[in-house]
Amino acid sequence: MKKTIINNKQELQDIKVKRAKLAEEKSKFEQALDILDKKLTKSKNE
Amino acid sequence: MNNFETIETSNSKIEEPEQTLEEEKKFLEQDEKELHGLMQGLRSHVGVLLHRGFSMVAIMGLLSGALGKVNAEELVKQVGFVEPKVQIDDANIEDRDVMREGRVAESVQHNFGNIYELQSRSIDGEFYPSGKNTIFERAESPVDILVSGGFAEDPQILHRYAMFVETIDVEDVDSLLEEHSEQIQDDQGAQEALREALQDKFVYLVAKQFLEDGGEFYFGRGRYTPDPLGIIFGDNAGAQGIQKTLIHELQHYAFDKQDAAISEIEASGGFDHNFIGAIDDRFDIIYAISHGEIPSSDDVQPMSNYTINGGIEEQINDFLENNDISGLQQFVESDKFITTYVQTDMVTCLSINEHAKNSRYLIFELSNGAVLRLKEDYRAADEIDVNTFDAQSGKYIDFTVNNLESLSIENLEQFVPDGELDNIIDSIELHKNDPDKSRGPMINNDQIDDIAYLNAYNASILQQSIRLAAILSEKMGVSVEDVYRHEQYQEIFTTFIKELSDKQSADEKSPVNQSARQIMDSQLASLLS
Repeated sequence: MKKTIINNKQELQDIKVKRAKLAEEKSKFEQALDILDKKLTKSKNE
Repeated sequence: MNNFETIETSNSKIEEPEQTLEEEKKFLEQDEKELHGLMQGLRSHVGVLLHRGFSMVAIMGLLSGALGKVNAEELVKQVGFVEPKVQIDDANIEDRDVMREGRVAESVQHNFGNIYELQSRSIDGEFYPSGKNTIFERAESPVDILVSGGFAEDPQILHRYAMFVETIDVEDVDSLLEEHSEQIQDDQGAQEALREALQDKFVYLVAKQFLEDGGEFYFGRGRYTPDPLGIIFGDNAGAQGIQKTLIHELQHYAFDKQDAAISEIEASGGFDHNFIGAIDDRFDIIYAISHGEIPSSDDVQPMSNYTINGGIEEQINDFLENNDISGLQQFVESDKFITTYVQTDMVTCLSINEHAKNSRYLIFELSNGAVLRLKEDYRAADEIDVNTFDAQSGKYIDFTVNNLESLSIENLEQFVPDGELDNIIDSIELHKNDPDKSRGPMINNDQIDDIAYLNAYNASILQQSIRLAAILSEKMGVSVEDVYRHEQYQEIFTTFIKELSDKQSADEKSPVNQSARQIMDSQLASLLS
């Protein structure tokens, strides 16, 4: 049981780290998407 | 025994983490889905921009502005915007020579893994122009005739423009600028750039025609507009950047004035950027050297690390840091130097063609504000890929199929408002019957050859300039970096580019790399005798 607790805690920690990394990635992609989105809208209007 | 208690305690301890764990797993799954959606969206945006004539490098440049160059490249890697790997077996390259007479096929491998084929190199190892003058060839049916008529005197963009190998007296430049002073917005930095850049005879010729056509120079972020005829330049930091923008925008005008086929096409920006980029690089190489500096990949993009051959600048810097002058000489004199330079630039053109050859977009703006984009890519998986995402300008619904035949009404109807499906189905039918409809334009073989030649010309100038620096450095006992500021170096380099441009413009069948070497050899012979 104790082992399960430790494993769960470790898994939880790993997921949290993974989510933090994903959040960083998402932020980058969102910025990049906005930049290209603006360019795309502009080129459509040109 | 307190086993029960322990278990109870343990259970109560487990309960909370397990609940959180399950929640976190769900959140993680959701995050991954959102990230996937963003990646798909980004990839799709890049695809549409490419379809509209933007180069991959230009798109990376857009991203670099906000995220920095390294991050932008990394981002493109993460997004996985890669053409499928078309494996070319080097062992069979000789068999492929038949595809284009007199040219050999080379595989060009981008660092991201994409492999393309360049068929511009002659069997003697040189890059020759197409002989069709594609840089100034007139379009059969220009799409824009507002600016037209060509030039009385050829501005010699291929071999001499913005190289300062023939100059105009500054008094004559001042006189032209004074005559048209009302067409030039007052700005000291930009005025100085105009005054300096127009001392190049061929930049002067273009600018003079532009002013005589009523064109006006404004100051701001670089742009050329045919109506009203105007060039905006001047907000770049530093004299080099300002001049480069001016020289760049004047080329847009020159191609427009000439009704050149490379700009008179129905695509955003045409392909003139692929030529202009190489001319800009040539200006940057010569500007840096004539101002006592080694050219940098910050300005000269083909010195960057884009292909598996590595980056020229990085390799030069390694030799310089280790004070390995003989290693530097061996590297710059190797065939790898020219190959790397040319391939690093050409990967953009090859990528555009690969994209246009294999994919096309059908774009529908729906009445509910969403944009439906159907991408047909022959290389896509058999399964229909559907992705929706929200961007600032609205919602995007993206379908990717390897053949439009596989799309059905059932696939689309849940996304399309009532009454709008028929038009979409009609358009899909039209596209099914015409495989070239909505396909992005491709850079033809002659144009590719001419862009490759321009890069070989630039690479040969860079190669001989570094070779000269290495030899003089050893002779004078000063560092390679310092030798660029030495008067003797400047004199030899100035003579070298003058003679090379004379030779190549007199006979474009002259092998540019060999010519450059011979001209520098003769300069060095008198120096070392």
